[in-house]
Amino acid sequence: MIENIIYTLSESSLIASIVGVLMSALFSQEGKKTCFKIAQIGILFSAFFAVLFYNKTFLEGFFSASWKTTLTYCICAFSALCWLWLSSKWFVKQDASSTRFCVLALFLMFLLSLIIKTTNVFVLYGGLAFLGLTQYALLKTSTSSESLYHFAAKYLFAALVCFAFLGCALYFLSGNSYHFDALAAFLQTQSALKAAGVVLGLFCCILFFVGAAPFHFWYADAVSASDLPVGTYFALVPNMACWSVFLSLYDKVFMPFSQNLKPIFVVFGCLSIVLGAIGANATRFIRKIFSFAYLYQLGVALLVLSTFREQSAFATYLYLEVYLFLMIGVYVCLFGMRLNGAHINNLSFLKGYASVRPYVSATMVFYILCLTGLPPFIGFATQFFMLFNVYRSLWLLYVILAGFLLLLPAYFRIIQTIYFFKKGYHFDRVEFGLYVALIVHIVFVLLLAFKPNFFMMQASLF
Amino acid sequence: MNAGILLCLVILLPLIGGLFVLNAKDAVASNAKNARHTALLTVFSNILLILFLFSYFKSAESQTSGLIDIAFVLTNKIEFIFGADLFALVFVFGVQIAVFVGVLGVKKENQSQKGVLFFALCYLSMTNGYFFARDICSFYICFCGQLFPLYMLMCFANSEIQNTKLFYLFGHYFLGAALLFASFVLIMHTKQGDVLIEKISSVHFSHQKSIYIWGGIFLALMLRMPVWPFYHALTSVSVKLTNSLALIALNFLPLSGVYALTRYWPLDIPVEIELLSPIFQILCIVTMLVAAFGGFIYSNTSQKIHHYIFVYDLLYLLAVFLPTDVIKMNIAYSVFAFLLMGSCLIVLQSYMQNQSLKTGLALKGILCHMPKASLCYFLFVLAAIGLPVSAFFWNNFLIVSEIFNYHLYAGTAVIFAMTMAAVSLLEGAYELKTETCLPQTQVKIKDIDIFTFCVCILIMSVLLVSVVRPLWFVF
Amino acid sequence: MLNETVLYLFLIGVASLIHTNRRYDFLLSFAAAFFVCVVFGAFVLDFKTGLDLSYTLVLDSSQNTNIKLDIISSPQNYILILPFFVITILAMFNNAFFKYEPNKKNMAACFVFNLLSLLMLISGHNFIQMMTFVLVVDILSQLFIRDMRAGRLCSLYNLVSDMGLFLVLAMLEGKLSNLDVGNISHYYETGKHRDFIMFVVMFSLCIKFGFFLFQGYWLDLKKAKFHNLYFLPYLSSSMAGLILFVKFYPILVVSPSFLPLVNWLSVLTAAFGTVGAVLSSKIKEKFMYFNMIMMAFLVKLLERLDFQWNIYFSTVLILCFILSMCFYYFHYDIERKLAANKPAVLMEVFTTLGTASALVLQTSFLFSKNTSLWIFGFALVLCFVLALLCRQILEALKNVKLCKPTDFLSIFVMLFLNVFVLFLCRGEVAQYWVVLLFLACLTLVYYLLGFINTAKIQSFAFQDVDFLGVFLKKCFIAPFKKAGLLINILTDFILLERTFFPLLSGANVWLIRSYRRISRMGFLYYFLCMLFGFLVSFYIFIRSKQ
Repeated sequence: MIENIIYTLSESSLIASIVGVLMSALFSQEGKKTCFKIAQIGILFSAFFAVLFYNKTFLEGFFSASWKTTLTYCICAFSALCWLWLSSKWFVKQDASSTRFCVLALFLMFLLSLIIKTTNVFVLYGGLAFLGLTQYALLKTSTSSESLYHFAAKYLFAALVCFAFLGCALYFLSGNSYHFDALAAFLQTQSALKAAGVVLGLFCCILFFVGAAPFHFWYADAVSASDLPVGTYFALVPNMACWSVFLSLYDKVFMPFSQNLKPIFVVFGCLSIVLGAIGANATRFIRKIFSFAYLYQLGVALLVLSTFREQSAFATYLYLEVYLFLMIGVYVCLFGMRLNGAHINNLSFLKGYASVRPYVSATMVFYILCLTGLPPFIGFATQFFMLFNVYRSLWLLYVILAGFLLLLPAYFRIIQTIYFFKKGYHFDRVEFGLYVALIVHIVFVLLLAFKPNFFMMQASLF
Repeated sequence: MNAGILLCLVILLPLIGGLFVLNAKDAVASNAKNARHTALLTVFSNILLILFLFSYFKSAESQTSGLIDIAFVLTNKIEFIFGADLFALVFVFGVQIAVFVGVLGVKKENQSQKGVLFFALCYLSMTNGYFFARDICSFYICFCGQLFPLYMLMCFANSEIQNTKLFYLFGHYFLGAALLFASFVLIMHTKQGDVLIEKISSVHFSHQKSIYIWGGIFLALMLRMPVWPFYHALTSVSVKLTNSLALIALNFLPLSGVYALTRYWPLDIPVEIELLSPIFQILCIVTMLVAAFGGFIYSNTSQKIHHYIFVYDLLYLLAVFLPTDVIKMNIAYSVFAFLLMGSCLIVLQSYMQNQSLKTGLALKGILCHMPKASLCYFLFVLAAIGLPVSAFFWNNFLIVSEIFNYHLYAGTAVIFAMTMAAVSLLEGAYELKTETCLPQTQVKIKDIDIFTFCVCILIMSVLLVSVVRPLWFVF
Repeated sequence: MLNETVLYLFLIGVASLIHTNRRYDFLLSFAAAFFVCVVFGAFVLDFKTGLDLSYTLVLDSSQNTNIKLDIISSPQNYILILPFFVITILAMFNNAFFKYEPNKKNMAACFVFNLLSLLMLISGHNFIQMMTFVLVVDILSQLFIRDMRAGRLCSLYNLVSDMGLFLVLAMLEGKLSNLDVGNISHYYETGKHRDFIMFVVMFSLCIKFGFFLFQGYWLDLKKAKFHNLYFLPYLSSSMAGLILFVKFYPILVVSPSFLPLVNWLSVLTAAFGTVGAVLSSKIKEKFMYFNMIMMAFLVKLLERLDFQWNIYFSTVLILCFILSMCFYYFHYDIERKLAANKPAVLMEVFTTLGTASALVLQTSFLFSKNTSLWIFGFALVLCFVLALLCRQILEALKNVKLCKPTDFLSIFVMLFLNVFVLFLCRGEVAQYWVVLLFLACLTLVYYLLGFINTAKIQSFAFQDVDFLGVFLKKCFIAPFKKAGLLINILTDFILLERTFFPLLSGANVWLIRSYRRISRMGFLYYFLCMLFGFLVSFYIFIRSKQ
């Protein structure tokens, strides 16, 4: 019993932090920064305990812990820490109340922690449902505007539809089949409709949360239309958790249905690639461009997973891990790009930014090049590894490369706007802390580029 | 010094120099030109290193043997191997000198010269890596790694180029990079690891895979060449560029394709794409004639130079696809001379254009007021049209004679195109030297400075000595 | 041996280039001429010993061939080189003494290097050496001309001609896989297209000769100064062409079209030259047309002699050069000066007649059944043209103001030339009747011409307008350029810039617009996406299960 309680320390520290935030909001005069500090400490402790009890968990029938789940949670925690650090600056500048935000952030981390570790379908369902609702609440914390209000409603509606669909499918499961390991075997004995319902329910639901096509519709708006801290959350934090769950299901539940799911993976993958490329070129908002680029990456990952080979899961995990790591840097740059106190989202407001802020511009270009997958940057190494290890069909390879070519102009448009247009505005100063963060981040990126063995070590976890 | 270390230095030195360039003082008001001097020093140091590298090849017998290899192990399957032999070194040497001349031609008062210089050095670094790469992984990295610095270089050099034209041009290049990537992934998947480029032809592929692989490699390299219809984008961008360094860098790229094909394209063309070979050769020759026509009909001297360059790029391409290996070093020597002459002509031409824009005088007859520039320009034009003042002439003769050996009509068409290109270049030069009615005192054109003049004369001397012995600097 | 001659000439040429004070120009140019004389002396001694040696210097080795320099000392080569040596010496001395030449020293160096190039061209035995020194001679001709306007067309035409030679030599090397000139005759065992090769070679050589249809650049040279032109036909591209004519004969004579082509071209060129020489009033232009006649004659004569360049032919060349020197002195003593130096002019007339007679005499030694018609024809034309020239000059003497003969240089030069001509033609007393006959004909024609008012004919616009040049420009070059423009427009502008690329960008714009339109549908968009996702996945899953 005591052991079980100790093993919950990772989650309980988050709950305790929520309480701490609420109490500080009620009783302390310190303000916004305190909330963030408490939240960050809570997440740090949570991650620490997760590592400490890397293979121990409570309620073993419902949850399981391993190096893989611990790694995933640590990545999420790291992203969350960066997110909160950046968001604190935003809240301080905006002089807005951060209590609700921090509470939601901690609660989201709690949910993500549960989702990552769960091995039970109903727990997963519950976790995702609460995740959807909490994310809706987070969206509502953004500065109120009519378009965002409608968007939040649309998001909720879409999430509810997904849950309803999944709920109906799970209704037909019996008691022994809730565990992931038993689920696949159980479904194979059922009718096609039932199996399809459950598998596709899980499949579509996770894809919705991950933001892959054709369930991508909400993601770009969530990242772009909302306030920067909220958008940063959607861009950095839940992706790895949801993807980890997806890979877990892929390994245990989807694998026996590979013949059925392969075409779906291919169709959705191609759709993600095409929509990602077109969408990135169609928009003039910088965060949207990156969100569509993320859609493209997901498409690539889906296509690679469609091969259902041994190394597929690890390859896509690595791919998205590196992507996320680079996006942290991108968002640090975005937090530095301000005009008259407001963070720049529209690309046309970035004209000639490089002439005033050369270092931030240069790092932005560096991250963009890493994200494009052009050699000799790190993005190329992961893309290469993925395609080299797991390619199956020639035409899939060409589809991925065609998408890459279609996406390039969008990235280059950002570079051109920053560097080669005449300066139109007087940009705000960038905080010293952001410069430090950028330098540290770039050093890490370069180290990883020269020492890719670090990534290869993770293969053993899979 | 260890040859491997020298090789690494040759590849990395321009990159390091680029970082120094970024930090160099470049205040126009105080007339500090540290960025340009830093870039010049970097490239010059690289030239000296390459000359030192040449000393590892003691005699002409080591032309095809005598390799310097260094390897970086990435994973148990991927190992980056770089190596040098005389063939690669001649190319690299030519490129360094051309860039040196290009940096010399960068306008001193241009605000954005730091960006131009930095990306030019990055491009140079990648190009050096490209020439020394021996396995497909490092080859691809350098192949693709050239493109972004080139793109930035061109954007920095001239913001008047239409975006659409630039996108079309780089669309070609990136499409080529994508195709090459696909081919190499296929090869590495078949071989389950990295492969030396010269060993690709010994790997056995299935029929379908073979088409994709060889077709991909072929198209990837062709997309860099000014073969119709790919050359239209190159022409459109070239005519808008006024920065000589950017022009030189842009005109390297086809030669890098020539290099790769000369080195690695197998003598026995894979059966799967053998049928396309005659079609391709016809396309080459037709493009050559169209380019030669283009230079002939336009009166703009810079257009004439561009079309002249295209004609010779295609000549090398035709030579590469001959089923013989004997003219490999001839191609290298010819390209070496071509790079030197081409870069000097481009620098002088763009200098004249700038002076013309500054003073408001027409280009016609401008050389009458610039004696040093006139001497240099005419010397290089004489060398470029094929007169025996450099190794260009002899080696072209052997290349063309080899073409005649296999295709009589192709050879005739090639000579016709070369003649038109030479005539248009010479006519352009005469246009610049046509006497105008303006008295000397009224004309305030600045001639090229003494340093540039000395460099041009030195390069001409190098070309002249190469008549006697192309590798006179191998000691 | 020839390699020693080459070395000495090279050293003399380099020494002439040393930068010194202008005051020493005369001394240095004279010294250069003198040393060339000394080298010539050694050359003649070697010639008399009848050596047959060869010297090869390998410059570069490549996988397929060796680039080398050959210097072959054979009696035939000595005969070929002899006239150029003599002409060079005469020209160098003239250059040293001629007061209107500002750059004597550099000109002397040019002469030496030119001679050296011709020597290497003659003694060479491989294609690359031949091609190299033909091109060097062309470059040096530009240095001789030293006038951009005058030399422009010359360099363009020579470039085209050289590229033609390049084509032929590359073709030969490709088929023979050997750079040796001696293998030319083997070409027809391995290759074909004899007519094509013959036409290309003749096209290139005709440009060098300045034959009819290709004479545009030659006539354009009249814009340059005369003292830079008078030796050009006998030392420069034309002579390089003549040497190549001899070397290429194995591949020329095998073509059945060769003989008719040479006949027609020679006749047309001579006719054109004659008409031009008659109609032009200025001595410089007369000279240009006259040399067209001489060139046509020399080429045809050589062909009739089965390409055997003998000592008489060499002498004929030297005498032709002396004739051109006479023209040159006429020009400076009549047209350039405001007042004419009568004794000098008369001396020049005398020298001209003497040289022409000597020329006819030497030509008579080449008289045979093959050459008879052509020699007769040439003698007649020469007679007519010289008679006209003499009439023009003597009438000019009447019209132009005469001055006191303060300038005796021309007289001395003419005297020297007369002695030289006598020396050349010494010991041929039995043939002097030819000379007498020629002079008699000339006198007759001279008096007959007195009945024609030549001044009226000579004011014709013929000499001011290059009709052929205009014809070529309008009928060939302009349509050529228009064709080029059309091809460029069709292939680049219409096909690519106005069709393919707009299609691409149109497709891109359409895709983006469609996507934006769809994504603005709001709830409907979300709903449709989800519906699509569920339905498609279901359908595929169920179908696959079945």
